[in-house]
Amino acid sequence: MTKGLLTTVLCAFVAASCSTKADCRGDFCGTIVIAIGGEPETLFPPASQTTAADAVADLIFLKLADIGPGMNSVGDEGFLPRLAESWEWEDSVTLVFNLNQLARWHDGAPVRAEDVEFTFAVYTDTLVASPKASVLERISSVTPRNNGQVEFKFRLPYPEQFYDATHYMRILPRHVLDTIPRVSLTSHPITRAPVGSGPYRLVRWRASEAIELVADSNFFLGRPGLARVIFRVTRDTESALAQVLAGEADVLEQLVTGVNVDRISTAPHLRTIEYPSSSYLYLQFNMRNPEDPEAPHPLFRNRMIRRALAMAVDQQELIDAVLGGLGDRTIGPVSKMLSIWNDQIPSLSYDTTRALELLNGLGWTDTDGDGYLDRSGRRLEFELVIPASSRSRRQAAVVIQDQLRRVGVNMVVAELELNTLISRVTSGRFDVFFGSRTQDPSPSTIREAWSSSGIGGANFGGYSSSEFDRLINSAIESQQADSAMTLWHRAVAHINADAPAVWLYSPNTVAAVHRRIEGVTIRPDQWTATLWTWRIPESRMIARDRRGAP
Amino acid sequence: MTRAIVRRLYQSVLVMFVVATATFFLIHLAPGDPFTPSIESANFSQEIVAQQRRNFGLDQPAHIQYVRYLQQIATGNFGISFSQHRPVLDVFYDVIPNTIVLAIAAILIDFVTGMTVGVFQSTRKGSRVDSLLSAISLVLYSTPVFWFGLMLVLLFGVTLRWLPTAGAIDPVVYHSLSLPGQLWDRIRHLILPAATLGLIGAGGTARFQRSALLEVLAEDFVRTARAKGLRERTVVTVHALRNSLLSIITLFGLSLPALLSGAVLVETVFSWPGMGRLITDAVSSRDYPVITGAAIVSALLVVAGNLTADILYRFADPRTRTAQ
Amino acid sequence: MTATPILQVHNLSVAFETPRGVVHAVDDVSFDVARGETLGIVGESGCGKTVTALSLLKLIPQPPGRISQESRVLFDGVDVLSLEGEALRKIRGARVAMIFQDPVASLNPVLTIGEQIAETIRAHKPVSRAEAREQAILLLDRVGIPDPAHRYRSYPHQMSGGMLQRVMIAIALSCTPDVLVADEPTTALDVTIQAQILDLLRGIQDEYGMSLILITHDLGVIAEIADRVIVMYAGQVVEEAATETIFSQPAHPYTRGLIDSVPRVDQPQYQITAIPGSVPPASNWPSGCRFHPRCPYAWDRCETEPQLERSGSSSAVRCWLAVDTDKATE
Repeated sequence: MTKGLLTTVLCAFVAASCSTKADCRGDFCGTIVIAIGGEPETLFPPASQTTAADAVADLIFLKLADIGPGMNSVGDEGFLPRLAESWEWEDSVTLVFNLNQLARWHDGAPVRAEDVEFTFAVYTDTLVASPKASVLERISSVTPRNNGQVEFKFRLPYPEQFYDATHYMRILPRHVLDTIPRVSLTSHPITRAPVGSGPYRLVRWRASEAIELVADSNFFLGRPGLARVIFRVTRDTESALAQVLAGEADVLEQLVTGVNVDRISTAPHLRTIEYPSSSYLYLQFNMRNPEDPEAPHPLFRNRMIRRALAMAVDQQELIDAVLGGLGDRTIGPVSKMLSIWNDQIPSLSYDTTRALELLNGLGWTDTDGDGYLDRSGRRLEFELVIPASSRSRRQAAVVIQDQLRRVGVNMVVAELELNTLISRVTSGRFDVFFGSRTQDPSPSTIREAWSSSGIGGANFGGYSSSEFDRLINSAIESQQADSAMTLWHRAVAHINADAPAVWLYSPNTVAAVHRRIEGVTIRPDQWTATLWTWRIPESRMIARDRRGAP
Repeated sequence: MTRAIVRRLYQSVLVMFVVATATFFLIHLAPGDPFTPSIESANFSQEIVAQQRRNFGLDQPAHIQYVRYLQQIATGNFGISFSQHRPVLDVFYDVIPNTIVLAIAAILIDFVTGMTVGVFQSTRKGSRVDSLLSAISLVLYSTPVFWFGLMLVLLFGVTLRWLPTAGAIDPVVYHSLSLPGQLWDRIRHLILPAATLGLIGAGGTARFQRSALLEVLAEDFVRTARAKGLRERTVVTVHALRNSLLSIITLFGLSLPALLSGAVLVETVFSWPGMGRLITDAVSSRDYPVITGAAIVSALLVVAGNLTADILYRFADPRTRTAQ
Repeated sequence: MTATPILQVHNLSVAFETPRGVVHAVDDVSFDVARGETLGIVGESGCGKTVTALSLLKLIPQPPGRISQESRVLFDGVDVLSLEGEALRKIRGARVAMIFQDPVASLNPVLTIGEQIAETIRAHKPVSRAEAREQAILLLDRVGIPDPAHRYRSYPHQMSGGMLQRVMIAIALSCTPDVLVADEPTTALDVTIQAQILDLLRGIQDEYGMSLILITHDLGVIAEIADRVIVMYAGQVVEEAATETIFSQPAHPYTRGLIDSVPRVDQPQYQITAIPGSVPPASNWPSGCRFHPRCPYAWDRCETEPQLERSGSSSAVRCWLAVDTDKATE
């Protein structure tokens, strides 16, 4: 009441301010506010390193083609045309895209083949030092044939050629960026005033505060359903929750905990949407001695100990305790988003009796009756390093600690500041690392994390199995989708048996969305990818929708 | 007086040099650097990381980077933020005004409320109201900022919906409002965060004001003022309050750093686009130029606050002015 | 002495509640002050002089202080102790003024001395700021402060103790009061300044025709200025007499002791005799005659408390010696 009174008084006082221009009419008026967990560091896609930056940039920029809802990354099956209207393979290493003649940059200029050529040059330029450069290594050249056709040449044929050509590069406007020296491209003001060809263009960016996008009503793939999309920078989950509960924000893409999901469920104006996540969590054993990287780890060099520990962890209990049931037990290093996800692959199941038998068989028994296993005077114990910043992992570590205590294993938890953790994990100075990995739609990233070719890189534990390497390499190289799938499953079964890690869970992501928004679909790898097809019917609009675009 | 202020300014330059140097080396000693790749998603190649380090001069030894940094600072150039890819000064320009506005509003609430309550209490020392207010201010004083802010958000933002829960403006309407409308929008957004910081501070200020005033009320010159037949209100305001201001001003000078650190939490709870959040983000992403720059700016703010306290003190206490 | 006294104090008793029990600082004190008269109140520190003085203007903070129900301070027939708020305020500073022992602590350090005089004037008289300022400058001039217009803007820390006591006197004079209460006005000052301040007090008393209550521990000061003297010991009046009588025929052994301890120019220094012992703490007065533990003449009767016996219109003494004349002549 007070609010209404004040507004009335204020309106009387400044009559002009409250009666703004004519209300927006029709089905394309909606304005939504999204509480976004981080602020984009840039809107220059080649320099982007965070999910927040990609989430916003993917509304402004387009790729040549988008991965389909099935997340297939082999061949071009399921891919949706974007800037490319169509494509054809001329031979196994030559791919030609035909650009959509209606595609326009936000300044009105047509999108042309030379923009694609320019984009590839920028992404692979060492002066730009794009984090995406390394995944483009197998493309040897990008050349315009004419204004509407561009040719990709590959160094060799492989199953994910199309995925590599389309998934990483957001096409950039050559005529806008050409005059800027490459070395200063990433810090040029244009990175915060992007000109793209996507469904939305940037209106304003209030640093640390909000990013406002407005629909391009002439978007060549169809008029976007929402007239305005405002990202409100909200780093704190509690604050984001308060905003959606108070009706100030319409979308929160990650509720993080089961408790938060329950709170949202009680609000009549909100609904929750659950979608598979692209990450999985695991306890990674270090195969090498933390004190001497040349020597094997005194405990974890033994496959039986690793298998016993894997069997001692009850994933379902973890999922219930930490995620409130919102997640799935993972079988191998595979997040639920991946096309190769399958819960029928053989794996070690929770069995404390068997785990204890294995440990006893290795000579670990509780001789002194203190509740912990020991052998030749040494207790069975090790240290788990976790990032102190992750609340869910801190909670999970406590549950796991308790589970291991039940079989007589003493796990000591060390919470480390993120950068300290990174430095210890990447240099091999740890026993067990509580990791989380976010995956691309392509399963081929499993190779860098778990095969011997990743040692010194993302394979922090140093797990090395020639059989796993062979299986995973042939899976990646396989041209046949069916046989690739079989090979992937065999590779996963193999790594499960070796237990270089205890696979824990893949959390389900739950988004909160205002009920008036219809047509809500979310692509697991990029939740804003289909946002331009969301809409608000005129009958359900609220005040902020009718304000329309400024 | 002017000379004293000039001397203060010289000291502040020294303070800022020390702060810049200490921060520079501390943050360089901490593990990780701005281009440490994530260990949780697809890695990019070591060559790219090395290239990025070269581009920003991080491949040089620390002492050379330090000398370069000092040269930059001396010319007023804070460098380019690694994480935001733009000049640090631009980054600061966006957030510092918000922090200052929040700090000033919080200080106003803190001292106006705190002093009013403290004065009210000390004129009713020992009464039931006095004990009640003492209890309230003690509770406030020991309330965690984060929790208190959250409670205010839930009550006034989510349940009652009287005030916005987050941000400094309403991004939906702000840009189509007239100037007074924009001002009102800003004030509405300022109320909860400023009240959070201000009221918690007011708890302490009230207790401080109460004891300071009670101490002064026991002074001989207060007895003189009463013996002169002055009205009780004059005795309290003109004579006692004015003297108790001296210790309150000292408190003001001391409370600025605490206010800035409290602001970090408030900015998080209310998604306030200020410096506190910038600094926490910069520390975790090892954004060296932002961290060192922010340390210098914070030191500058604290020095400015102390200088203000100094000037106020000289204004309030004739004994600190030099002889005529 | 036949006219109605301007100030009459009847049965004044003041107690303080302290964490260690109730302290009876002033016990049943009565005295009169005639118009134009100078009354000296003398006693060692802790005897209740200052509490008595503060009670005259109801300046005792209550709590912890407690003035008994029977106590009366009649100023011009009106009981000051029964007044509150405006009525009380109109007497304070205007009709009865006070100056204190420590002028440095008694003046507000953050206000100019001129402001502190002018605000007193404006608290009682309907004058403008400018008029009050003019009157204040005249007062500064009257109390002997050189260059008063300039000094008006000085702060207390810029002046000496003697000068500040003059300022206090100027404040006290600002509304030409009927009674001026001076509580140890010279104690904190240098010896040379003391005489000047006393001269000033005597001068203005004469000029304004005020009554002066001079509270001091210094009989020398009394001798110089007082018409009549009250001697207090342990919260009680032990003797009251005209000044000459006190010095020529002190009736109470305590008065005698006080007089003997005054250094005199006509006697060699070594003959000074101090009273043995010290004033007992107010929380624990001795039973019987409160002076008897220190009294050289004490005998068994002193175990019971003597009353203040009046002899003549202006003399009184609280001592068994005065009653038991046989014993007195022993």
